[in-house]
Amino acid sequence: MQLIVLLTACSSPAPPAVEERPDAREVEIPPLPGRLTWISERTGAPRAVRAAADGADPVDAVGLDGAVFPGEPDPRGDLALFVRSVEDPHLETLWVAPVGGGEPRRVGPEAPQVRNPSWAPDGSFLVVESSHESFRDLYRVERTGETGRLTDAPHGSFEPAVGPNGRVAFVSSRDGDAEIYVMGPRGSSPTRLTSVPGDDMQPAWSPDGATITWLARRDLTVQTWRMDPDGQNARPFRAEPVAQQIALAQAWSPDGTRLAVTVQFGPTDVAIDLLDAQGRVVARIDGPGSDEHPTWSPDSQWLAFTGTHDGQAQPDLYRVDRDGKGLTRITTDPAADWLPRWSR
Amino acid sequence: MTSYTKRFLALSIAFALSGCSQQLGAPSVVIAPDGDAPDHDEPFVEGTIPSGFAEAVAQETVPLEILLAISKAETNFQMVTGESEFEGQAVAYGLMGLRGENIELAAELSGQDVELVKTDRTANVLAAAALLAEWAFEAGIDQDDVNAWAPVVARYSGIVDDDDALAEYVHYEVYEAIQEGVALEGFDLKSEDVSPDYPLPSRHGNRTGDSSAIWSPSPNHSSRGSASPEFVIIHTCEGSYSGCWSWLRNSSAGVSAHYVVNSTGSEVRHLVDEDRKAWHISADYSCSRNSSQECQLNGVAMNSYSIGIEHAGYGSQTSWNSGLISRSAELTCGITQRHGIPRDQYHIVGHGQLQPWNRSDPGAAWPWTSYLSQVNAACGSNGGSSGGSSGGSSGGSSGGSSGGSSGGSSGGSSGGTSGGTSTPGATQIVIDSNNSANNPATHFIEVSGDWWSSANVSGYYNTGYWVAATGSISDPARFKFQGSGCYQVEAWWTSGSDRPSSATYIGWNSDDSEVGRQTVSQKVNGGQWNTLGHWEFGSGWNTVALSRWTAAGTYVVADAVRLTPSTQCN
Repeated sequence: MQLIVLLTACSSPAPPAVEERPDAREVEIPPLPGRLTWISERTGAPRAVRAAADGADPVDAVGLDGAVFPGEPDPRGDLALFVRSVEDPHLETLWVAPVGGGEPRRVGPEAPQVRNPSWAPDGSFLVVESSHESFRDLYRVERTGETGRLTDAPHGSFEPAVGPNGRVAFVSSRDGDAEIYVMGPRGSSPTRLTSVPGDDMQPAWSPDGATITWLARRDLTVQTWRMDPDGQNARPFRAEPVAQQIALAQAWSPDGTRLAVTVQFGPTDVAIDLLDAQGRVVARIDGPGSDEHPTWSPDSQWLAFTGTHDGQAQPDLYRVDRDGKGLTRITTDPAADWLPRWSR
Repeated sequence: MTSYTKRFLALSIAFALSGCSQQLGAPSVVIAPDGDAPDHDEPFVEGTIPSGFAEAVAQETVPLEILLAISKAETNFQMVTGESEFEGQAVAYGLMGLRGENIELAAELSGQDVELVKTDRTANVLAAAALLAEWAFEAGIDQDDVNAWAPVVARYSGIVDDDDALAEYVHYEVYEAIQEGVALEGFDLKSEDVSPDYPLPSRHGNRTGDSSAIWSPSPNHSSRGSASPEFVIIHTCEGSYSGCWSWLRNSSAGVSAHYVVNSTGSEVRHLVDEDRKAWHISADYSCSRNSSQECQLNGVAMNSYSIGIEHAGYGSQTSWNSGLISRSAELTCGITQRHGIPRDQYHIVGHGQLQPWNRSDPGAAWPWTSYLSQVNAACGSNGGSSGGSSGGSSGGSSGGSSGGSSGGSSGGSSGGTSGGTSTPGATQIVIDSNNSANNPATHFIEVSGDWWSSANVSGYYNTGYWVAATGSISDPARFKFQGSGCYQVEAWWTSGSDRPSSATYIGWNSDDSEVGRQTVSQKVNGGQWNTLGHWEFGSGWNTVALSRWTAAGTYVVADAVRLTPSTQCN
């Protein structure tokens, strides 16, 4: 066909030599997998909404009153998890509901603080941080709703992350400052992994369970670090450390080949660095304002996040591919859309 | 006293008559003393009057110094979009911190749209000036007399039912700024003697709790029950200092905090005893308000566990005064020491972190990493608390170090470790990372701008240390000294798992010839003197250099070097 076009190029006008179908494409583009749940302020108060992964036609995700925030997706793909907060008095609770809609049910503790729920990779339970009976401790919540307390440390335990073997990495200040610990699935044998003064926080397991990454505050920076699950071989995650950066959050891709790290450069300048498993920078997503809340598609091919790349006043959801390319705006409503969670 | 504004207007007219190209809104002026002014040789103002203020003094009768001083007191010259911090308090907007029904009135008086007054700098100052002029007219004051504006300034504060706070606002926030002079965006309003026509504040508070805070008790507190302070919560007042502590000690406000820090850190108010519960974050849970459900939660709320510090200013401001940060860090250090609170980001937290559904203070510009570092530095310590291990379920906590073991050294002592190889009584030289502890005539440290100062990791010598990223970089820290002969050379660092395992110290004569080198691991043996060797130096300025040139990914520490005359050189 190219040859035919070339041969006919001298005549004008030059209609296609072969009739092309209007929908003809070079390659087939499969539909985006899974679904998105996020916070929308289209009706005023922040509400959790859900839609297909293209973000079109969102509907209320759970039908609860109060402020409702989407939690980490259920690894089994059956349940949607939410943190609900109500006022007067202020109380926070966990709720689960069938992903396609259905009656929500409350699980776990009720307290002024119920934060950072983390699912076990097999979806059999989750661990959450709560002020239910103490300043801040960790609770294990079975899929059935049965709840048990895992820690009892007066200075607090925070930010649980359940690994592939059910072991729980978490932060605790029990020994004087924030350090990373691991313990068994039911709270046994808590073991300290880090020992450097300066906050150690937000542990995350690589999907294969071979590495724990965390954020370490050192000398006026916060950097992503990595170590073995027993605390050995601790070292910066990045192949080329960046001086004076403040890392805010991290998100592993399900296949373990990418780590998205949210990095702050100024009060309102937050970017997302896409790193490969060796810590090399694949791409930096850095639009005007803040790019944050990265969440991976179940097939690890896409990253959704909150940003303002089109100069809008309120944030919207965007996505890029696993290499940071193909920036696409997902939501366009004038009201704020933020905190996406990409589930199966 | 005649205001600067009158003189400024006269000058503006003079510019106009002479065909000068200066724009009225932004003249660049140096005003010499005139017949109305005090006798001194300094000019009254220098530079270009900042936008907004120039237009306002051109259109309204309000003295320039009054406008500038109010803006400093209310917002520290930042264009703020206030947020609700205390129930019932209207939020503030713009450089002048206009709030509530005053915005509507000011907009009307200045003939501007309310939204513009909230969001546009010039419109905001113009509106505030119109409001102040209207109130001055109502009060019948001599508008040419800066001191006569004091009652109008007091009214602008919005403080009610608190004569002492009103007097503090007038005397110590607004007129004190005039007394001290105001500098903004290259414009310099020189110091002016003022004596506001307003009663003096009583200022007779006892000083308790934190050693230098002024005791201004609030009735808004209650028992902590069985809880004890576990964390420190950082708030912003969303307004001025006096307005803040006045509001928090008003019984009808129903809110409080333990402390309020002013915008420069020069003053702290202590409102509630630390052993009592101040009402500074959300509502306490009470099952009596919830159909007697979940009564085990009674008292399990953030106020019970926390100590609250308010800071004059706004969550939306783009920077914080370094004095405020330092003073607050010292205050927080003292609180953590008194209550055994760990000094980490889980125990020193922002209001917005705990109450994100309706609060965001202290805002995105609060320098958390620097602040936590300063808290630890103020405590002369590390990232840990004074409390140490708190037991609980930690079990075996020693395992799996990520490095950072101190190698069994006790550290901390600056005593000698020379083991008898030095020459007692001879002149010893300690070159610190802090040049204020050195003598530039005999010894000092020299680092490039790529090194930064820190006190984040414990065990440092004196006040802190320099730190830099490692890599293939020729950029050593240079400990320089004058002295010749054989020296035992020792180095001090802070250890951690992010330190290099191969950090190299090199001794150079003044002619750059090498006299010795030693490679050490800074992962261990921090907080003590570590012997590098016994090196023979020539005369002149010699150097002990610490290289950055080693495997990338770690941070090398230049803290101190000690040179002790020795007999051990070969």
